[in-house]
Amino acid sequence: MNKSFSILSMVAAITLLSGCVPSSSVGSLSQNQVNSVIKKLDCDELVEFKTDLFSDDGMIGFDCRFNDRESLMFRQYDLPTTVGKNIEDWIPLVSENNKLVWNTNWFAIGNPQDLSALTQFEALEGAQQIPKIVKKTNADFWMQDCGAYVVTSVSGKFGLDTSPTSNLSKYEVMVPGLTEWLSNSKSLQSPEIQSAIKDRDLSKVIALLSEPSSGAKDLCEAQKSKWDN
Amino acid sequence: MQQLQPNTLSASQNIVISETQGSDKADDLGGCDYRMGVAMPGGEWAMSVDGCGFIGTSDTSTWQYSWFIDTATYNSSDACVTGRGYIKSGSSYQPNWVGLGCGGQGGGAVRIGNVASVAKNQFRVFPTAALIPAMIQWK
Repeated sequence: MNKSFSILSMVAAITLLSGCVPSSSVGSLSQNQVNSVIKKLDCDELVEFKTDLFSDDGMIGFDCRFNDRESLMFRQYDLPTTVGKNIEDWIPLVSENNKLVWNTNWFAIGNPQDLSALTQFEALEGAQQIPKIVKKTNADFWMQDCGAYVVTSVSGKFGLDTSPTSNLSKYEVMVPGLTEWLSNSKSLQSPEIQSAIKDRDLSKVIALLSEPSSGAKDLCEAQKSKWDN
Repeated sequence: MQQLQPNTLSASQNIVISETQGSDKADDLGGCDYRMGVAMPGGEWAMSVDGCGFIGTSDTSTWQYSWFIDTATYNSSDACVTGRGYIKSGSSYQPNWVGLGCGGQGGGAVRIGNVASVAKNQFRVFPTAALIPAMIQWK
C-alpha cells in the first residue's frame, strides 16, 4: 500500500514539475471571458459559484460537468494570494487526465483538452513554475471553519451526510444566528436547493448557498472580526 | 511564501485503503496513530500536520475522523475541529471541509470518494472562561 501511494504521489509531483502544467504570471478573466469559456466547453451540466463559502475572499467559479469525462472546475479569486492559500487542497486531485492550470488570480483543474478553452484567453506560456502556497491568516481559517460549520449543519439538517448534528448548539456559539438561519432561510427551501438535496449533490448545494441572497457567508463574515487577530 | 515541494503528497507514514471487505468505510489498516495538536486561546487557529494517507476506492468511500481533548495528560480547553474531505461534482472531486464537532471529543465519517490524499484537520479553542490551550489528539 505504501508503494501504491508513493507512486501516486510521485505521478502527481512529476506532473506538476514536468511542464505539463503550464502557468503564466499575468491576468484574470472578465465575466464575459468566463462566459465565453463556458459556452465553448458545452458542458453537460453547469454548476456556478458566486463566491467561496470557505474563503474570506470574493470568488467566481464553475464546475463544467461532462457525462463522459472529468469535470472542468474553475475558481477565480479577487486576490492573487487566495490561489496560493487554497491550492494545496486541490493538488491530490491531479492525475494524467485531470491537469491543473493556474494564473495570478485563478486556477482550474480538468481534462487537458478542455483546459485549452481557458488558455486562449490567458496565453499560458508553459513556464515551469508551480503554485506557491501562501500562509492563511486567522480570518482565512475562521472563514474556512465557519463555512464547514454552516455546510455541515445544512448536511445534517437534510440528512446529506453522517454529520454530528448534535453539535448544532455548539456551532451556534461559534456562529450566532446559525440555528435561526437553518430554520427560516428561504434559500434552503428553494426548489433548486431541494432538488440538489434530493439528488444528494452536496457540491451543487454549496454552489447554491454561494448566492449572496442565501445569507450563508454573511453568517460567517459577521463573526470574522472576532477571530481576526 | 513557501514553495510547494513535490513531496507534499507523500508526507504521511501510514496509508489506508478506504474500501475493505465490502464496506465503504475507511479502516485503519496502516496502524495509523493519533496525532497531537495544540490550539491557543484567543482565536488562534491551528492547522494540523498531515495525518494518515488514504486511498478512496469508490464514490462512496469515507474517512473516519476521530478526535478528543487530551485531559489525561493536560489541563485543556474544549475545541472545535474541522476535517478535509472530497465531494463529487459530476465525474470529478473537489475539496470540502467538514465540521467534526465542538467540545471534548468528536469525529465523523467524511466523504473522500475516489481520491488519494492525506487526512487534514483544523482546530480552534471553543470559547470558554478559562484561557488555556486546547490539547487535541486526532486521526
